[in-house]
Amino acid sequence: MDRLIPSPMKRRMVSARWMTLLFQILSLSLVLVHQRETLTPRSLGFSALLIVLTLMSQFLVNLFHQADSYLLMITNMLFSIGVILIYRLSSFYGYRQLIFYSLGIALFFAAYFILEKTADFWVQKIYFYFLAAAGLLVLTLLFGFVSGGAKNWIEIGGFSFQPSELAKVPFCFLIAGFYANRDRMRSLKGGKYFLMAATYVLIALFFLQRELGTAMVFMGVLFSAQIAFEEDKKVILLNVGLAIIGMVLAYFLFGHIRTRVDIWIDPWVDMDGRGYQITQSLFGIAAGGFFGTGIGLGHPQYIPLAYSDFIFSAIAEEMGTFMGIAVILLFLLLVYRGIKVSLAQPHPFYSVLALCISISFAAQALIMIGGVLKLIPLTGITLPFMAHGGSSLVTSFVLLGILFYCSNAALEVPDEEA
Amino acid sequence: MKKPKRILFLLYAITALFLAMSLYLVYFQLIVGPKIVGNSYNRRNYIDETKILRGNFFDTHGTALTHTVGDSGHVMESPRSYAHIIGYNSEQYGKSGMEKTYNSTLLGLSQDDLFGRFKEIVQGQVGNDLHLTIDNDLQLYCYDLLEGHKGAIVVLDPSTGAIKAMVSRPSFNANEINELWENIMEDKSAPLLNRAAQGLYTPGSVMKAITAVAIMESGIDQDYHDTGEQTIDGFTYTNYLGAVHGEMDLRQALIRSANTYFTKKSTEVGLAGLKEVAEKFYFNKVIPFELVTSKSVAYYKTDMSLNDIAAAGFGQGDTLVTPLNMALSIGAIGNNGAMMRPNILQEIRSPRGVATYTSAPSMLSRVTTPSIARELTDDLVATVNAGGAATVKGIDVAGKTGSAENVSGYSHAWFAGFAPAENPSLALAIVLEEEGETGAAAAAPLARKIFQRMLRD
Amino acid sequence: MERILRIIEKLFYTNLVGEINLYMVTANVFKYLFVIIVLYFVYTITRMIYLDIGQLRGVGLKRSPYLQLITRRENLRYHVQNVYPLKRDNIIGRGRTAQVQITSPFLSKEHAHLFEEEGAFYLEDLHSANGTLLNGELVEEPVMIHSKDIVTLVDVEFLFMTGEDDG
Repeated sequence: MDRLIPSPMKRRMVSARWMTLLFQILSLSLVLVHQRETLTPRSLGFSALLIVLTLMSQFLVNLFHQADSYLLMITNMLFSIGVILIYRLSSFYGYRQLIFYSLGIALFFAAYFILEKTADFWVQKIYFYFLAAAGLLVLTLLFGFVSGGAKNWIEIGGFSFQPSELAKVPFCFLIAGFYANRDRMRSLKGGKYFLMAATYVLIALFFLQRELGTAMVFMGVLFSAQIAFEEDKKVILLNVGLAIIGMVLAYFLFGHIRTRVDIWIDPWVDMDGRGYQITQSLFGIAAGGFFGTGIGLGHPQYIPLAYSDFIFSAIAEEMGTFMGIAVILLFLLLVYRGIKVSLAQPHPFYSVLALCISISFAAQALIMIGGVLKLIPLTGITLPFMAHGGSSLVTSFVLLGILFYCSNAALEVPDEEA
Repeated sequence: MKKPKRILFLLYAITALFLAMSLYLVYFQLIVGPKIVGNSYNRRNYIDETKILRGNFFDTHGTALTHTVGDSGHVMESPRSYAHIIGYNSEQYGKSGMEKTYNSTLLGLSQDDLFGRFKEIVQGQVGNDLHLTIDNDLQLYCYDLLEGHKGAIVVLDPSTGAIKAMVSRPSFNANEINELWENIMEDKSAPLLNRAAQGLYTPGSVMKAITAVAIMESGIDQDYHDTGEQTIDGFTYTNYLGAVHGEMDLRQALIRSANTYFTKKSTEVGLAGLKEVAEKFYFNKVIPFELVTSKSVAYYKTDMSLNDIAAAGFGQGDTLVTPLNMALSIGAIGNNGAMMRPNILQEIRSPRGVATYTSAPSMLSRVTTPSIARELTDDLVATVNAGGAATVKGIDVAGKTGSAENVSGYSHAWFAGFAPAENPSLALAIVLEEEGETGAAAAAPLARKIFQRMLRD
Repeated sequence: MERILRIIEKLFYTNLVGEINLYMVTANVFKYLFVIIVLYFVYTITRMIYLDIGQLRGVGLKRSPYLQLITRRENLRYHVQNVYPLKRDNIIGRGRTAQVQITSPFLSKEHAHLFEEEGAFYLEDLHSANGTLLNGELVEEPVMIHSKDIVTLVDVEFLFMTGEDDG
């Protein structure tokens, strides 16, 4: 057997992986006891599947030496924290979350392979992405149904999903395509404004569906991409100006936006009605203290939608403020990693793509956690990898898989355009 | 084309935001959390409550106002008299009054730590007792005084702000809140409303005491020749029963409660002066208090007509005041111009009887100078003496009556005053809602009874 | 299943002292464990990332070491990249697990080892079938390799470049 010197880094990587496994084992045992009423072979299978999938995915990911395996490691830890709490709240949602996870992991690797085989196919397109994103949104407008105050669900063959979540994928590609083919766009009349115009159209479509949170994420991603890649400062300033005007207009035009701002400013006056969700969230977080109440000992079930929109509050209640901070740090690490991928990737298209995906994770986490803490108004956005939700989880893993591909150090850089 | 510096900038910005959020989480847990944990909408408290011996209420002399029943609750001895102060405690409908404000204290709820919980669970948690500033004897007496009327009485110590009695009628049996809820909700007379602190009434002539301060502070000429009529901008004001008083100074005007005087002088003082004084008396401001209060309204907008100003000057127009605010205001005059912060909680005592908190008086507002306050006090003593309805043998009582016209057509009967005038230990405000009689006829006699009971023994 | 449920119920949920049961104690102990585990995880990953940070600051100004293809691609029957970025520890070979994977039939699965130790880079041959050349010389023991050295793997040649003398 050839000598392979285990570097100290490799050793640490192994120990980090054990942490996730240890966490899973301990928390699963606890939750299984707590949910003893539903203790069936199924729940044991659930636990086994979670552990196996995590171990397998991390083992597989390490085989790809060219790419960044930290991404999946961090994500697996995040997911574990989330799924444990979801299962604690409801075994039914726990099972579903795990199924989505399996699908997510599969799509993660699938995305990588597809991109590997077809890397050049994506680089030249721009309009295609815009049409894909807009198409998804228009589809929802026409055929969608309302759930939770926003019309952004579609039902196909018994399964409901949110196209607005999926639209993030073509959107990131759109930005990447725009900046990778900058010269081509600039040669067109008004071409350099195309990206902004396209984004605003998409945001408008979101507003029509009352999906404000995702609109904000899109805005954040666009803005960050401009800061990173836009050479024409006027375009950036124009965007800022339009955004401010847009927000003010939206505030005055849309009653439901004013409502959200009112609730944000003072939810205590209407704790029975509009302020119910956020106040219950705050109660939960306050009840947890720094280390939490202990799994099963708190009352996260009093928080509405604790398994999805307010998963962070439930975590803060039963696992404590320090765990909440740990979650924030994990997201920070994930985003940092993603931005590093963008910096290190010489291929322009995939570099931009990596940045967009990283920012989208960052924006979602910031907006979502900020909302449940009442730092900013609630927006109905979900926490990637943690909140229960098929569309959200699957999309996040797809994006992660794409980011994983972008971290491939061996991508061939196309010759610079003259 | 790639700009690493800018991308790094993004990274730093995002890092800063995430870290700031973490810090906020810590801040939230340390500072905000404890404040909201006891909120009655926080159902987590109810789980603990059935295992916790809720603390009891006592009056200022240590008389028990509630007693424990079962292993976790308590009932009021006088559920109607104290319905608005102590408030109800219902698992279904939440809490009100001091039960709500001091819920955490009554439950002895400690924040998170395992060991605190451990102790609680092992020893069986007992909550803290609340000792109020209320004088039980006086509280019950005032409640009876209001029988057959709607309205409120607030009695306080103007030198400390301690509330001696606060009653509001119509009231309800707070011990039976669950059974009575439906009826209470239907009841158009709104028994749940704490009229003493939240009821907003047109003050009528009691406002003249405050306007008098404005007149004195403005330095305008206080003399006036009354012809029984005063016309301002085409609108004519008359005195009660059309009386004509001839030459008057401020004292005479107060004694006679002359509308003509006050309308004229109000317009001379002007919008700004009146508003400033009213706000020193805590109009348009939220009075800090353990129970919910309403803001008294001194409506002074820059585009007011002279008539509106005039009306405000003698307590009509859009002016509205709570009985609590009135009591504090009149008390401030008696307290050399210092309005004290009102409080009902005197002490918190741990289950072992140790006082863990004792309230200390603090000044809320300086409404006027001591010399003006003393001069006005003399005027108000003369007012009471001339009226005769609130006088008490051997004690100087200062005060003002009022009969406030309002939309119902039946005037509110008011009295606000303090005694003994030189160094008052009691200040009070009484309002009889839609009484249809004058303050002198209906409210002042009640005040006399209260002063007699408290000061003559 | 029923029996197991009852056993669990009995074991964890009977009151030991006062209102406390075993589940409560366990959950309370575990909550500290969970925080420690996850924060340690964060710490570990952060350290690993920190060790990479040198490369991050250098991007755009100084590239990490890499192998630059010299041989003309038309002369080769298999796919080769122009550039292979190098990590601290690289296996060069035909196999999937190689950091520098070249699907040449002449290479062994794990053909050579290029690694960094205490600031310097070394090249060693991993008992490959067809050998490795450094500047024309056969590599046996690990030998130090410098920037602009030529690495030959049977019929393909690379220039070993470190960032210091870029441009």
